[in-house]
Amino acid sequence: MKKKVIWILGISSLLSLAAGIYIIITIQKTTSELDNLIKLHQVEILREHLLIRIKRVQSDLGLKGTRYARGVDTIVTDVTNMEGAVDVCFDCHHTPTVLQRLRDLKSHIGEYKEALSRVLTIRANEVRLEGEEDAAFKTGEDLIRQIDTMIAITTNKLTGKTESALDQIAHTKIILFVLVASGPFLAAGLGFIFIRGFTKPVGALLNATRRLKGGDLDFRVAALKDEFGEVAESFNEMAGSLKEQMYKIEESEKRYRALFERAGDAIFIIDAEGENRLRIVAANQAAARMHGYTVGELLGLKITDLDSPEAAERAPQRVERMLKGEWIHTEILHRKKDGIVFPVEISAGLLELSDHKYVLAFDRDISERKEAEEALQRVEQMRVVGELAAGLAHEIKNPLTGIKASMEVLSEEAAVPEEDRKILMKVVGEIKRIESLLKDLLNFARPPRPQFTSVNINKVLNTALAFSFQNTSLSSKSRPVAIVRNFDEHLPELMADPQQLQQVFMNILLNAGDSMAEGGTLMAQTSYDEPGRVIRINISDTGKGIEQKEIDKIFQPFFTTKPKGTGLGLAITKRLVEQHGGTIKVYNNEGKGATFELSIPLSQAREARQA
Amino acid sequence: MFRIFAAVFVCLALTAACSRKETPVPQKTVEEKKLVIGLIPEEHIFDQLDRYKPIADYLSGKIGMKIVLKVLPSYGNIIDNFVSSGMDGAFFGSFTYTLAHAKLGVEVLARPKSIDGTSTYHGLIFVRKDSGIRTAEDMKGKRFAFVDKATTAGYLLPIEYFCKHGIRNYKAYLKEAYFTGTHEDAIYDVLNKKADVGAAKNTVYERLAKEDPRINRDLVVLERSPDVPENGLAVRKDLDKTLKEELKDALLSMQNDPEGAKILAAFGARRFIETTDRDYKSVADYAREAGINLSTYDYMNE
Repeated sequence: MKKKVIWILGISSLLSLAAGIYIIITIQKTTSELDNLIKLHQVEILREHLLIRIKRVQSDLGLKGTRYARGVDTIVTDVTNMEGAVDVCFDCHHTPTVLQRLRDLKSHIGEYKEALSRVLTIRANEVRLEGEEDAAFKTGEDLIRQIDTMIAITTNKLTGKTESALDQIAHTKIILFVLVASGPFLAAGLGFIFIRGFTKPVGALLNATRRLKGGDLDFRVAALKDEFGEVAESFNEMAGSLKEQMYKIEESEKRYRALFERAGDAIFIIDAEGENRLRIVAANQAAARMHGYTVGELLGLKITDLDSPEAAERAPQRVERMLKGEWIHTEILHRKKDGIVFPVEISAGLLELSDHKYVLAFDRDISERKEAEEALQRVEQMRVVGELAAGLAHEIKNPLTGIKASMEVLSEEAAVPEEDRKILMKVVGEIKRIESLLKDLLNFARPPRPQFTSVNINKVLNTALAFSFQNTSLSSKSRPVAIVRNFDEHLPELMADPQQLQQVFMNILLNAGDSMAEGGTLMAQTSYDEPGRVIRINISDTGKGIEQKEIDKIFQPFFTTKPKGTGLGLAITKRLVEQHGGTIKVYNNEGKGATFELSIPLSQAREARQA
Repeated sequence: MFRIFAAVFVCLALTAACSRKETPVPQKTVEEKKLVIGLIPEEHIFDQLDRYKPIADYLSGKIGMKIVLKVLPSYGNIIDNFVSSGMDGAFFGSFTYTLAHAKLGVEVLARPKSIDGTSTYHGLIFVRKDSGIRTAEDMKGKRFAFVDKATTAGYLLPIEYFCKHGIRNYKAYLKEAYFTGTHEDAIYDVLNKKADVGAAKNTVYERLAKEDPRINRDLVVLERSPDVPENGLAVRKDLDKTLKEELKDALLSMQNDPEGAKILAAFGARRFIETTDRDYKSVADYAREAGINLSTYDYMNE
């Protein structure tokens, strides 16, 4: 292209120069032509002038001797002027022929002068005088004729030359017009070629960059000429390199995305500054699963929306620490979409991307760990309580037996007035209560090993229902309780300790009965979850329900809401269910009362035995 | 394209500049002081003007005053016209000076000394060789070409010649007597057979003889006059003395100046020598011999 441009510029410059030189030469030629014309005109004028001078001298001659005769001085002046007029002719350049003619003329004038001088100076008789005058006059006339001839020749020549000069000028004018007019066209043409030469490849390159920008890394520029060809080649190389780099980046991105998406822990990237401070910028699937949202939903939230209110309050403080460069490890409570709060372990720190500060956080759901810890703690608690209770019960039981026997003996004494006997019998009754408590305590602390046999749950539940609500104060006329049995008649039998299951159901039913002080409905439902191979038992009442703050503590030992409760009933129940490898949960009903939900596996034997 | 236009404009500008000619600024004509010098028609009046012009220009430069030459158609005119034409001086012939001095009191300043060293001339009477005229007797009934009544060579000599040969009335003796006005014409008239006898001064005769070989070949000199001073510059007696001196000095020292020497050479002179009235005594004597009374002499041609 450079060469081409140089060539074109060079050629156009040469053309311009040639045109310029041509114009100069033409103008020069024309002006010199005009100059010649002017000179010829001058010559003509000079000859006319000469003619006039000679005629004047002739008239001087003619008037000589008359009363109009001019003075010698005037005649001398006229002759001098005449001579001057012919001398002027020699100032110009002439051809040898013309020069010779002029010389002849000059010598002729010399003769004329001599003749004139003679006429002026001679004093003689009339004949001689006239003769001289005639001779002079004749010379003058010859001279005039000679000059006339010369003028005719000049005029002739002048006409020809004028015509040729005018033709030349007209021709020059046309050429100048053509040159001047063709100049802009030439410039426009060159400009068009230039612009086309530039715009076409530039357009192709521009299109290529747009395609590249649009992500078409496979696009290649077609072969272009000259330097544009080099640019195109370079562009294609760049596109190739870009594609390669992009592939590498994509691979790397895929790897990191897999790492991100498949991580077990929730990973968040959170904006740490600006308007969107604390906004979740990125979250992985684990984070979505953990909190019950979709990834898309998470991206519209702030991290504090996932925190429990207490944790949310301290969030800015944590971010500040991280902005100072601290990598924090802490445990806080998060809230799922459905409101369930669960503990997470956070490991988070500052992440700077493109001069913007973010927080990179790894959250791990530690619910199970917490539960395990709690369970362990509870087991430990139970072990201590059990040992304490067993020891205490053992130590109390013996003296209590002695006291009870003594009281019974004493009460049977005749001498004991009736009033005292009643008091003694009351004491014995209270001692029996203590013994029962001690028994429960021992049961809880050191539960007896279940004796597994094949059991029909429906039967065991029915027995418990009958035992609880028939012949007891739980169902009376003042507090009628309707029993609704909703049993699955096709329940498979399971391996369990029927005595312990009986105790489990009895404890639940007694609590249900207690909650319905005004009477109500008790519903018992059994079902079989075939895929899970578990039997589910739901027992719900329409009583007062359980206060929300107490619902978590209800299975803890020694927790009771009853004035005379020991707080061991439900703790033993839970323990017995767990001994069968099952679970027990409680929740308040939507309307009234609460529901206990039990699930006991069909094949719990191994786990139960291990337990 | 711009370049073409630029080139055209530059060229046009240049051509315009080149073709522009200086238009002469008309000079203010000031009435300047000038010195009018008269010339006698020793040769053709136009040749005479041409011959003296360089000397006049040279003197103009030297005295710082323009000199205008005024040629007169006859020798006698110069005496008549000297005052009326406002002449300040003139190159007088020997006889015209003698006459002018007597009549006007002009003062001679200098005269040229020719290349061959002479500062005088003499008159000649000549005929064509083939005319057969050799004596005064032979001239009877012939045509005589005088120069002018106021010339030594062209009139005094033939008058004295006729006188010497006892011819008192030459007009009656001759078939025709006329005045050519110039020495040159007198010589050529004889040569061209327009006249049979002629009289002229030797300096002109010799100068023409150099240019035209016919003169020496076809003419023969029958008589010569005594030597008289060559034509000198005389000025009016009341001319400013300083100017008079300046003119004289310029003429006398001309040969020392390269430019002056060149002009002298072209004029046919070695230098100008100082000349006084006394130098013309021979002319007066000669006139007397010819029977002329200077104080009453009518110098005008008839």
